[in-house]
Amino acid sequence: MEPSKEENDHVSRDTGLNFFGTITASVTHELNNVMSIIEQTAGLLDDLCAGAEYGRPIENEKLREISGKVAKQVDRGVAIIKRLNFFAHSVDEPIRTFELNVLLSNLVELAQRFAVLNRIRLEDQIPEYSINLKTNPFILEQVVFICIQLAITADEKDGLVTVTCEGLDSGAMISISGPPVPESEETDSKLSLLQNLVNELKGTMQVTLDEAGRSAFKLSMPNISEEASL
Amino acid sequence: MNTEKILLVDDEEEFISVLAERMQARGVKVDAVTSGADAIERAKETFYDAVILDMAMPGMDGIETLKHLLAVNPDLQVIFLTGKATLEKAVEAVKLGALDFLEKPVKFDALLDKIKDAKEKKILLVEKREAERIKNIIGKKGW
Repeated sequence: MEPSKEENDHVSRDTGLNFFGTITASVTHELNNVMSIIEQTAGLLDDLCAGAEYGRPIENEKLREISGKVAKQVDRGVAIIKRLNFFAHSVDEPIRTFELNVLLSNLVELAQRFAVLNRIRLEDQIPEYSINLKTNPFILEQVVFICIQLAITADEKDGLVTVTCEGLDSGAMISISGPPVPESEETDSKLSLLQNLVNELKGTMQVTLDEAGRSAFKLSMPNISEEASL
Repeated sequence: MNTEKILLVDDEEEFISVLAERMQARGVKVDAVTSGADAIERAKETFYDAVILDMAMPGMDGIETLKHLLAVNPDLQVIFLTGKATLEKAVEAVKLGALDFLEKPVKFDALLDKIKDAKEKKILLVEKREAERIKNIIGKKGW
């Protein structure tokens, strides 16, 4: 028996929440690292002040080095927060027109920590010119993120995963390529979820293996109307 | 004066660099590495009072690193630094033989206290092992 629309909505909501949680947990972990460095750097400054009270002079060069370290971490923290904020706004409207290249660049940055933990290099080779797409940005982010997740689970350490996109007449093509994806139950389950999400966006998906043994997810995503998504 | 010798393991270079500087200023001898594999190599060469180990690292994570470290030296005192998300793993680490864990951002004084605890525990373990060794020798010789 086919699942009802309510059942599908329930699964879709759970999947979306799960994805949102995964990204938020990763970003807050990164922010925690930033805060840890700032806290210890502030502590170092306190140590130096305490030393100065006992007559040990603080050198200007040392102070500059410390303020440089704090500034670097603040910049890092601001960039992380901007990325999370951009991502959080992708649930504002179910269907809207947005710059696909900007959304993908942001998502690749959000996924960097996952790639690093798997010792995989993740690069975006996304054009700088605007590629507009009208679809559900949050579901599209889930689709691309699952492809990235699959690509970075490869056994090939220090492998390279790339994300690219190009505009089509009535939509866009997104490609995620990398080392071959290992076969497992988890892979099958992710592929099944991926196919459902691509269907929700009225898109098509091809998974190919080239001569060099690299796997590629090719996602053809059409512009869709608000009515089409109902 | 503190004479603890510790190994810091964290892939955040800036973090271990500033932490090492603060500890060295307090007389703690510090080695710092950015991966589990490097930590294992160092532990083969040096007998540390404590290893401060990050849970989430590229390649070999904290738990895997802990298992290898304890295989190299079962008396090694390992203190985990962990985020909220890896708290369950930290509990698992203690069950596997880690001394304790602290949540990031870590309070410096709390970490120093844990290092002192680690050193005391290590001394007790070494003394106990030495006493057992002497007891075995005496038993074999029949004195």
